[in-house]
Amino acid sequence: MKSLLANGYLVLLTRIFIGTMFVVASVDKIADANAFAVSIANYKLSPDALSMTVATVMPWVELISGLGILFGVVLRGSSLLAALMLVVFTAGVISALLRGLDISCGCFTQDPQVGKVSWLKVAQNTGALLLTLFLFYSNSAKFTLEEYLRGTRPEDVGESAP
Amino acid sequence: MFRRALREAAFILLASTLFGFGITAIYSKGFFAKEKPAVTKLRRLATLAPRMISATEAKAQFDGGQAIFIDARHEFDYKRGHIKGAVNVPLNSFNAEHIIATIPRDRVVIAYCDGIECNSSIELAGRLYDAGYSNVKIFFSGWQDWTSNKYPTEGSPK
Repeated sequence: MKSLLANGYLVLLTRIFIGTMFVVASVDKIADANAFAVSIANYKLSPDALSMTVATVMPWVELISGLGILFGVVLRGSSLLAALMLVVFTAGVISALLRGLDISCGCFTQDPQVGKVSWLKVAQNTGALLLTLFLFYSNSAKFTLEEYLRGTRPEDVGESAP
Repeated sequence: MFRRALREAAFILLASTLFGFGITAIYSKGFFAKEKPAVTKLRRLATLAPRMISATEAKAQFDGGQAIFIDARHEFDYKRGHIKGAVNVPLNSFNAEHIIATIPRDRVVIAYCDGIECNSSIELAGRLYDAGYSNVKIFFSGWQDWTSNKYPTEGSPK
């Protein structure tokens, strides 16, 4: 496991996959905060004002974390937030499924006709969560913008994972 | 490692908050939209969505005289007998413009079909709602329940 966490190519591949996923997911939400607020409200888990606040801020967390993961800057913070978001999203989808809500996910598109919540989505999210946790604990700074800018490896890389 | 991760995460959250509120303010979206947020509209739509009513409620509406019953069944069945005063709108010949011209959209409209075996009352109620009727009800147990209660009907059964 330790060698996997330090494998620069594997970490890069995972970063591209997860980073791109978050960036792509954020675009539609940033473009239409109202539609995303409706998607959130459809889960019937939060009051309207909170749905609207989440819809205003969260797409940007997705975008910045996604870019951070993709380019390898603030990688730990980005993957921590990405993992937290995935946990929250998955919990939302599971609770919607358990309550029998027939709603669209609002994950990648705000089009109400596509992407109904399903157990497949839960499985996908769980997979993405594992990859994101892998990034969080990874300790290879290869191919990161931080490494490139400093000409050295970031300060805490090389520490053994807790 | 966790300290640094938390610091970075806090930075990202702060930046996101600034971007989120900043951009929506610049483009007058979300919180800053001139129209009420879509969430409020959604809530309104949900409260106006068609509801199912029982035979007793349907009869009370009938006695009130304000509601308009809409028969979703085939014309053949309608002619053989229907709720007194009901209008026939078979699902396959549904024409929103024609109905809007005939029935004001603020009236209580009650859709029904034969009974629990049919879904056209629900389908019709949905279409009426989409056409802008704000007070649509579904008398789901329909014609069967109405006649078994011997409520007023008209038509010529043969």
